Amino acid sequence: MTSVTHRPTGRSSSLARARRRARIQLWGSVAVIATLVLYPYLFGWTLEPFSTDAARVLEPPSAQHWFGTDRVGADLLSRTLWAGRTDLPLTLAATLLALVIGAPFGAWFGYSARLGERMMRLIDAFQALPLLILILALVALSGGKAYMIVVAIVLYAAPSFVRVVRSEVLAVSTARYVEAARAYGVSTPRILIRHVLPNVTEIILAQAALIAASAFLAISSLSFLGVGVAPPTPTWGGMIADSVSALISGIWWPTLFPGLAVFVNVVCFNLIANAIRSTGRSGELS
Amino acid sequence: MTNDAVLSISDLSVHYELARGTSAEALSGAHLDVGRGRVHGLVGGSGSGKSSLIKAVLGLSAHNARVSGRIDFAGAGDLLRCSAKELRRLRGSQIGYIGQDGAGSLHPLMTVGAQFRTFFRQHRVPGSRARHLARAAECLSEVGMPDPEAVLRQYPFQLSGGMAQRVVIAIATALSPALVLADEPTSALDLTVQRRVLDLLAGLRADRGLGILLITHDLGVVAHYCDEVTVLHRGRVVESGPVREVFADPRDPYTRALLRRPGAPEPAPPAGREGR
Amino acid sequence: MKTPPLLRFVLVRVAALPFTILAVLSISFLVTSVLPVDPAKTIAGPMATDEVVAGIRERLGLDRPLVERFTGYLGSLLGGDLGSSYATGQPVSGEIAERLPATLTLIIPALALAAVVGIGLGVVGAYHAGRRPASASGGIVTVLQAVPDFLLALVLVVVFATGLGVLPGPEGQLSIGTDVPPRVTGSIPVDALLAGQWPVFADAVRHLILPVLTLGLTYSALIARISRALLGNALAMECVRFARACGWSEWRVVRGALLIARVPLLTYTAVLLAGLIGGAAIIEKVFSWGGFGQWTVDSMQKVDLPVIQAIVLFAGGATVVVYLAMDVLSGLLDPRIPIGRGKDR
Ligand SMILES: Nc1ncnc2c1ncn2[C@@H]1O[C@H](COP(=O)(O)OP(=O)(O)OP(=O)(O)O)[C@@H](O)[C@H]1O
Ligand SMILES: [Mg+2]
Repeated sequence: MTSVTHRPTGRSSSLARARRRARIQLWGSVAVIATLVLYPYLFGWTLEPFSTDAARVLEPPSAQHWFGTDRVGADLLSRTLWAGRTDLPLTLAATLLALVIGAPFGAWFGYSARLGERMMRLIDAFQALPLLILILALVALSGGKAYMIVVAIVLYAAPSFVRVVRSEVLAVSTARYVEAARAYGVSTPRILIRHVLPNVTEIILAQAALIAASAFLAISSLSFLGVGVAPPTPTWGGMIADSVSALISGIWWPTLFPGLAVFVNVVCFNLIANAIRSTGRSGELS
Repeated sequence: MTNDAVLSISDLSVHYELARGTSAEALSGAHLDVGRGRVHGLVGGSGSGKSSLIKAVLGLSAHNARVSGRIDFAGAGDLLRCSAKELRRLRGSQIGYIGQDGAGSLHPLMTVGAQFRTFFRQHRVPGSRARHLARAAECLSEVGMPDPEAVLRQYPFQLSGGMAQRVVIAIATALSPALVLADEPTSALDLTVQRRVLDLLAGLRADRGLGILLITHDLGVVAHYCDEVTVLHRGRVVESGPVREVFADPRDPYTRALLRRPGAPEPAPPAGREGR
Repeated sequence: MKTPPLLRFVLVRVAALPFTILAVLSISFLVTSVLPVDPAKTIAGPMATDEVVAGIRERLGLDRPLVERFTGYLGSLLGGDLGSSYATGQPVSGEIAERLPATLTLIIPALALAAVVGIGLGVVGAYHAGRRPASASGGIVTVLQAVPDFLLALVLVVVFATGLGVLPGPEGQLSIGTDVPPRVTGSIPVDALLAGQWPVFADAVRHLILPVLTLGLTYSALIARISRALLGNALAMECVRFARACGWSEWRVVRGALLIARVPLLTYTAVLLAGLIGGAAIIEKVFSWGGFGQWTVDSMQKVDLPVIQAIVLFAGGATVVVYLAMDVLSGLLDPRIPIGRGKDR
């Protein structure tokens, strides 16, 4: 609304500040996720996720067991950290594979608009399928094989990449400079790689982070339901499922820490997406 | 300054705050008067601040806009010092607005009749549904709509661009405002329709004593329809006065450049084209 | 209002239905048959010998050629037979009819809640775009999105059931020992109302609160995001500027924008509804709800093939029907879609 005040215009650093905040968000989140993935590989020897102690079940957090112990007496800190070895690599692998498969199709369907139009109808139909049930079926029927989890998540995620990449390519490839390149007779793959790709990478990366967030949630849900990665390998979802009966009787620590891990990861993936979008060329800062 | 001015703008500045913390100046120290029953042309290049001026008058500037100066409106005092509620009451009843895109100005999912009704209810026009619709039909026939009852039942997508713009004019003038702000009202229409819409506005002005502030890029239109003209260049008023005088003897180099462009009216001698 | 064009539209779509269903059916069959997984092995478990696995394969008919299995499956489907569960021997169609009402009792109020909360957040986010209330609404949405539904369910149970003790814990649709009202619709609160059993109705509603809250809040994040985008676009339209210039109050302006966003919003909600038929599985499991979703998960774990195939088929079919209903409704609500034309509002 209108205001009659004439504010001074010297806030010269507001954009810079916003950019800095976005960069901190981006690299902070990447660091958190990287730590959670790498810690069990690099410092796995400090963890004892599989050793149980029937004498010390469901102990509250203490100096010895920082996160407490679970219902078979295993150290919750070790298990929570160890789960990063399973849940996150699966998420990253599935997202990457979905990207590698989805993006070229998206580029193709965006570039040849006629064909793309038709293929998108197919993809619409595919996405209308009860995907969660299909994923469940696939994973359950394979007995929770890790590769099947990845396949199922790729089936679910690749169409979104096709959609995003296509709409971006569609937008960019009608831009003047691409039309000019085409008029000069530059070949199609070359146009895509030299001119279109650099302009869509940010959006695609942001989308990848969002898809990673939902892939991660799906994988956690699978292990919560007990159809994902089989125990005793710790997964955050599995640990939470395992803790339900204790939680009902008021024992909170076996649920809290894996729950926190899930929450932190999803937030980090979302922050990465936001940060990429807001530092980008197309950034709407708010 | 005319005593008889409906709208009198003085020293109006509009700044847009940008994300960088810098701000862009869209208008600085602009002034103009629109007399009762006069058509005032506002011309200027793209980005010269014409729309910013109109939005400031309506109190509908963008969120990042900082507006200062005076906008005196007959009977209401300085609009910049009016409350949001007062402004809202003035908009539609005392000040009408007509934009470029007639079809886009109408709510796509409401019939023309429903839009009139919402408008009347908002301004607490007494009467039943039937009374409101009858009055709407009257307004439509005043803007030369052939079959008003049928139009009331139609959705905007069923109207042509020219018809939609007529509906917009009918709504904007339905409550007999004292001032109409028209922001390039004909630039989306084809030539013959443009003529008819402008003739319609000129007719309403004559019948009801409306003051009209007409933004246009077309100096021919200014020469033909306007009494006064103000030329904006980069947010500053570079020329203003009666059309005949300005066109006959442009003092500012920018105005001279505008008038030299192909399609501009001849720099007519003082006894030339009559503005009405 | 003229019906013939609408009728024709519906007929065309209904005529296309069998083909869509056939596609869903083929996919459900393929997923359970062709992909490189061997259900016999999963059923037999990791310790089983090859003979045991072969035996299971034969018993399930998995040793027969694929085409034969598919035609056999189609044949029995045409005869109205969805197959019988390996685990219970019961016909699958009967079990679906038995469990679906419980799921609908859960997801319909949940979706209503999600719509109210989500649209509210979306309106705030779009209307105040770039200002404080919008960032607050965005923050809430981010948190709601980052909490997985099963975790939210557990938190709510701990707070309201274990901690405050004001609501029942995850013990199903009724307190233990409460008699189920005579079955009419299959939905316990509705049946209790029909039978006039007020205490049972109250008990059923108290059991509904937490799962509905969980699902509703989880899905409200999705609806908030989509409605913020839709409303943002609507509020940027020229007609909004004209409406304001005509003196419409902000409340009327927002209502007008909601009217523009209504059809796509409904479509999106329908997509969520279709997804929720099986997608509530996790919440059903947490709350021991015993509906369609929990049955899905249980059957998956037991590798109950006929049940899995039937569930995928049913969920796919339901999706198709919901989408069809949505298309018809959009046609009625949006005058620009030709089928509803002639309606006066
Ligand atoms: N919300 C805004 N934020 C920042 N800058 C703005 C905003 N609105 C307008 N501007 C800038 O203010 C200047 C004046 O814009 P305005 O719309 O008033 O011009 P105009 O004379 O109406 O132009 P046109 O003839 O193209 O309609 C332009 O440079 C424009 O980019
Ligand atoms: Mg303008």
